Amino acid sequence: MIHSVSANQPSFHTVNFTTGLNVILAERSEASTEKDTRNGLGKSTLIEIIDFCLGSRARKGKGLVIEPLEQWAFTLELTLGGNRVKVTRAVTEHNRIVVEGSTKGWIEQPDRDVKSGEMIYTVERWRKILGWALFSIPMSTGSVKYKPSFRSLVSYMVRRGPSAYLSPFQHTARQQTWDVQLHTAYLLGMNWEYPSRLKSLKDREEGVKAIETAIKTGAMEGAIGTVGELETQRIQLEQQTTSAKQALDTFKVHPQYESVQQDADRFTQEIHDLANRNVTYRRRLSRYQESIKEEKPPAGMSLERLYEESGLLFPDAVKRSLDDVRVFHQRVVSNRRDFLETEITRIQKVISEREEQIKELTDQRAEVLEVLQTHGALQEITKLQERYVELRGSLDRVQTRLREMKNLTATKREVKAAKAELVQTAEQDHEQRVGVWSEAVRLFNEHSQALYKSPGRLVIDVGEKGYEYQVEIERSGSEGIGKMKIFCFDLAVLQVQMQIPHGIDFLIHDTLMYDSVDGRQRALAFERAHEVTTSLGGQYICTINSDMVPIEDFSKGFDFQQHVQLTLSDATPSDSLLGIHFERPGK
Amino acid sequence: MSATYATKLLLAFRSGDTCAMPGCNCKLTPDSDSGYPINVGEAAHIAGEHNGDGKKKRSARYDPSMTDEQRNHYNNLIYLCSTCHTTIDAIPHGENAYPVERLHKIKAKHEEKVRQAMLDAFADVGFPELEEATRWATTIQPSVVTTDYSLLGLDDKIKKNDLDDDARGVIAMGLGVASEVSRYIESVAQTDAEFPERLKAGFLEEYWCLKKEGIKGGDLFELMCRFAQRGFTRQAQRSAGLAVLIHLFETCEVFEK
Ligand SMILES: [Zn+2]
Ligand SMILES: [Zn+2]
Repeated sequence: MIHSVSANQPSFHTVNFTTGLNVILAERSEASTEKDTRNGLGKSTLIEIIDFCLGSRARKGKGLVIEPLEQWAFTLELTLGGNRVKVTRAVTEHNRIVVEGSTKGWIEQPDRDVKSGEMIYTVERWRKILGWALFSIPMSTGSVKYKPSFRSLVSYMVRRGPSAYLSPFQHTARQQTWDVQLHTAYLLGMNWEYPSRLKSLKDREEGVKAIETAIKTGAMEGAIGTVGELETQRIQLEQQTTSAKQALDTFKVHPQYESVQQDADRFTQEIHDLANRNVTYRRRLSRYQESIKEEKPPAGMSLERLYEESGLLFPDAVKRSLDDVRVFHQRVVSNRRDFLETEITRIQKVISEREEQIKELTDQRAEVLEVLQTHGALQEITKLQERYVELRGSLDRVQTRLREMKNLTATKREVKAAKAELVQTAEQDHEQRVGVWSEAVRLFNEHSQALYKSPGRLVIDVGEKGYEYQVEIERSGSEGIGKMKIFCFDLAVLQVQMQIPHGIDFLIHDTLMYDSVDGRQRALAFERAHEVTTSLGGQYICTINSDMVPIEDFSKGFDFQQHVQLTLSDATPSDSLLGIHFERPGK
Repeated sequence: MSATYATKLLLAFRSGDTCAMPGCNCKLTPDSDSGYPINVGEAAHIAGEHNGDGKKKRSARYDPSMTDEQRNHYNNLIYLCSTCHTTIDAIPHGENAYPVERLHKIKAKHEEKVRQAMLDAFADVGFPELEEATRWATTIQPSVVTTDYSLLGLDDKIKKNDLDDDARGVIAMGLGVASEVSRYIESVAQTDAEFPERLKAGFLEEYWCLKKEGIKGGDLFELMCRFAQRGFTRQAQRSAGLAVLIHLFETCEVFEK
């Protein structure tokens, strides 16, 4: 229950409220011609002030937090949690809520300001108090990420700005689906945990999708590929890693590997040289052997034969000389034989010596080659190690990614299952709470009947996408019917809330609610609001332009003027709510 | 100071009068109209000759630790055509491409190849080759005929003339055709009785000439071999010339006995 709105500046027009209908009237003077001059009167400002005192977000340069108002502080007197208190919030020190009056029984007590002695809450704590006192929000809702917020709930009951009048279930155009589902459910006494858990599951789902996309596009560091491709890679890498490890384990380093290699090359060269030289020697040998074999008896007898053939007597002197020649030739030939035989022996010896050498060198080379086959150079092992480390790294990356992808798949499956289960539980829960939400449906229908003489339907469905709400009033051709849907819904919500302890007991509408609504329905709406709130002890506060008041359409005995708590005029600045003229920045 | 004439001849002989550079195969004793061979090969320095202090530029592969004698020694020379000589001496590319060790290897390989070809060609020596190899002797005046039938064992003779194993190998191979040479000389002597004496006179003249220059031992033998080859280009002719020399060696007509 809001008792009054006041301010620390004398020019301000203090407003008092009672139970039932409370109207702030905005009057246009004869002199003014501009259609929208009434906008400066402060009907919206009044709602803004109430919301400000209810802990609305204060942003510098926006709303009330502007330079012309920096000296201002606004006070709301209201009954809250069983106590009538005055709460004051200053434009400059807007994080400080000063409370006057008893706060006995409140779940959290204000702090005392040591300097001023005032009792204060920070805005954050003030919202908690309000949440508890107006919507029974428990002080602690645990670690749940998506939970009822006082600010979102109160925004349904204090609808501000054009975007709050678009749909019954939304208080701003930017409101997210889960926010709509959760807070509407909360206001209607349904299970708000269902949309909350559904949103958390959706978050996980989207997280998985985002990671999958990042993996596919390579935006995420690590191995790239599908599970199948990565499995193939993993198998290959495992084989390569194993063989690299084996090579590394069995690797024997020979510190002088290169010099051993040079030895081997030298042995090979020497063996070749020796073998080549022996080939030449063998050829020579066979030539010598042939020379000896082919040796014919020495010639030189021809002269003697010539004498014989001519029948001449061979002279003795000549004969003696010929003998000498014969002996000489025989000696030449035998000398030659001796020499060649010596040579043959010598060469044979050299050949066999070389063969011996070749054999020795071949053995030595075999030893060296054995070393070369079983050992490696130091650089080789370093290379092997580097390769092994590299392979291990690649394998790790692929395995990690595979694990991640399997986890993702598992998470997806889990989320899907959890969603299915959640839907089932929600459906059951919805069934069980039929008593609660059908009351809202019934009330909505009642209001629709009252306004349009036609049934209205508030449909609450539960499905995979969460709660789905719909309102319908079967009456075509009537402009402003959309607005009245909101009115009927809000009024039904107020009734539902007032039936529970610590439920909000006021509903505030701007003149926007009545734009393009027929006069008859406007009149019925005021009467209905008054009737309902009066019977429950609640309040309906609204601002309206004087020319929109449907004087002709009110029922007999309904004195509209009696409910007007304040009349604002554009005649002089002092007739506006704040009593001063000020410019809103950027407007 | 540069290499002696004898050293150059020896180099030419061992290189088979062919450029030592692998793949060049350039013949370095072209036939001349005069009938005498002209040596166009160059005794190229392996480690360079000049230090670059004087008028001349520094030679490729110059080694300051060597003496001039060492620089001009047979061991530091390689037989090349002038093109290949220019190539290996070009600074810096030739010098870099042909370091000392590489040239030594090229030289050794080439000389071994030449020697082997020479030995192998003894098998091809017959009367036609011998005829060509001894044609020069027909114009020689025979020396005074001395009848000396004394002989020395071949081993003893090799020792006495201070011949090395290389010479010994050549002699042994040459002996394979020694009887062929005897038969040929004998057959020529049937019509030209003075032919053996002429042949002997030609060799002896060269022999004494070389001795006078102070050449001895293996070098003397090899220069005689080169004389016997006369600048022939066919290997069989060259080996035929050698075979004649070895025949004379065997019968103690030339060389010490
Ligand atoms: Zn030179
Ligand atoms: Zn050349």
